[in-house]
Amino acid sequence: MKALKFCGIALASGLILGVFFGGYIGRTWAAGGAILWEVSAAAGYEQLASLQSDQADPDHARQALLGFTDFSRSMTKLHSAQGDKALLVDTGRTYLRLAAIEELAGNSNLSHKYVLDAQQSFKSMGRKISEQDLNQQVAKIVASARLSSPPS
Amino acid sequence: MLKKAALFGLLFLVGAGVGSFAAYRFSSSRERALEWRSFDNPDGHEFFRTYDLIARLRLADMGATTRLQNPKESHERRREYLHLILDIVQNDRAGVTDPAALTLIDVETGVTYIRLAMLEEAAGDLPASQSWMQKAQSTLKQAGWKDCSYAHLKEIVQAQNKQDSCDTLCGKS
Repeated sequence: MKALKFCGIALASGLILGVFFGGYIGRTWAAGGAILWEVSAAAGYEQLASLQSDQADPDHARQALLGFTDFSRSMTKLHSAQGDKALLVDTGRTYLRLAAIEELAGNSNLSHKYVLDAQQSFKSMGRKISEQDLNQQVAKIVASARLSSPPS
Repeated sequence: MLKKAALFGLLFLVGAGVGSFAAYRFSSSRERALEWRSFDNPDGHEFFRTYDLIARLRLADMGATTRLQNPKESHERRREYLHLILDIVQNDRAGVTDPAALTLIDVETGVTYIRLAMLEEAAGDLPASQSWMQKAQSTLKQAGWKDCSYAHLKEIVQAQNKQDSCDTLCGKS
């Protein structure tokens, strides 16, 4: 009986310590892995969409940028993306690029809508930027696109 | 006394091992369930495949470019790192159905082809370099790129390499 009690105490104390240790390691590794994956996916998609919008024709550029805004909207539902403000910055910047594309295509209404979407994205990360400032950013992107594209 | 302490230690370790393993499995699966609780539907599964592939491509791309800048790496190993990206695309592209994501995966593939072309060119294998460059031009043209000239594509990748701290790989023209 005494021996059984001795063995039980040894096993139980190891088990209790192990549960705390294993629980902590499991939680931190899984959370760390999820954050690494979230940051990699966001950065990878944003980089490719940005490259595509610089190099492709307007239709493909639109498709890539809208793809990123959809992707980032889905990503915000991820637990690991809850504190990722960089994702909201990237989304806001993508809306500004979309606004510039529509401005260049002469779609002023759609361009204005994207400026408001960008404003909303920046607002949701705690930065209130006026519509006027965002319009200036769009004008800069439009000017640089006009400079880099060959005259038709 | 010593025997008793050894037995205690052994049983303690067994308990700790079992407890750690079980708690690790439980808490990591709970964490994963928490991460993916909003995606348990067909759209969510589609998103997961794109998300997973883009994340893996990004990590492989970063790993490849970091290793490529190591001057100790041989030409063969540099080539293998770039083929790793192509392998990932080849194995997992079929699982993605979103057209926007598919086009971007093609862009990543095209950029990898250009890197391979520049790598072969630096190694003096001009036929292989031309073959990779033709593949790159065809892939990127399909992705809607306006200028697929050799000089322009090289310039783009040199800028990308610089961005990815990889300018020692193919930065020499």
